[in-house]
Amino acid sequence: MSTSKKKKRRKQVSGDLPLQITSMADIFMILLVFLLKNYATSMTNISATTKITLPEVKVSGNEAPKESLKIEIGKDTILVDQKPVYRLDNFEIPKGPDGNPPAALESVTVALNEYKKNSLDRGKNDSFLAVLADENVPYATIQKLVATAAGSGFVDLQLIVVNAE
Amino acid sequence: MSVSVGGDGGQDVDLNLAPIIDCFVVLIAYLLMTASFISLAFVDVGVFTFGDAAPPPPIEDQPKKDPPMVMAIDMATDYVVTIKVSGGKEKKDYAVPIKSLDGKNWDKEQLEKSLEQIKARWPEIEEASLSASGLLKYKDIVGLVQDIKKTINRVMVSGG
Repeated sequence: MSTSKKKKRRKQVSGDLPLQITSMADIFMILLVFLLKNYATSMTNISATTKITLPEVKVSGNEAPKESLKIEIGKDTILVDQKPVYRLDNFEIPKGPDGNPPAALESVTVALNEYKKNSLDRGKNDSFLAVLADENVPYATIQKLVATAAGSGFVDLQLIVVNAE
Repeated sequence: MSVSVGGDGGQDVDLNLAPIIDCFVVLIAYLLMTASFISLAFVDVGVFTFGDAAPPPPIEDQPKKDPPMVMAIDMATDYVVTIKVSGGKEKKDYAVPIKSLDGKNWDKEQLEKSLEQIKARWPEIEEASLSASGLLKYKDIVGLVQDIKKTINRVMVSGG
């Protein structure tokens, strides 16, 4: 078949058949419904800023956490409201010149007090704190942070985990 | 796609699906980019702290009440959990140690059983305070907290 004949034939075919997009619209509709359903139930507002491996725990119920201040504990830093405020040494609080960890995490206290003051100015007295900590953080670090948070009035902790359903 | 308008003998009109498809493409792309496919959940706990403050002095005119029943749970590095119950009318402390079966994992089954037995005997216990060795990992703590919460409504973790 010569090239001119081929071209003519292709032209005829493309001119005769309209694009069938009904089935594509159906697929898109199903995808959209699936994504919207997942989107509504996932905790989209909570995600870790730093590289954190959250612990996997089987939690029953699908209750959403209260909107609150977020504190992240990674390998090297503690972040309050996505801002690094304290440096860690391989998940641990660095020891002071006397060989002991400091009694209080002062920079964390400052950041928490500032948030508390701002929320009080807005007429809210929030005691909730969302904690996103790496699964390998030693409890000594958590304990120190919990004490610091309690000192600033954050006594209701929401420990964020991956739901192992 | 075509629809008939004007009843019987009406005209067939082709619906223009292209703008709808455009909307779908944009929406699906946005949802795919922002959606998180990891299912996150939360475990809520309270905080109890140790302090040097003295308890308030008793009021003389009031009749003496029995101290409330309290439950304290301690986690040690050798995978031993000890449940301590004290107070109440009996004025006696109970300690239930739960040892690991293999020395590598917490015996969560036995812990749940023990907590259920304690709850059945003292239903007034509504909360438990959890203390743990500073060397334990966060994943162990949060896993055990969730197991305790199956029986006891509120768990308090130690700070300081």
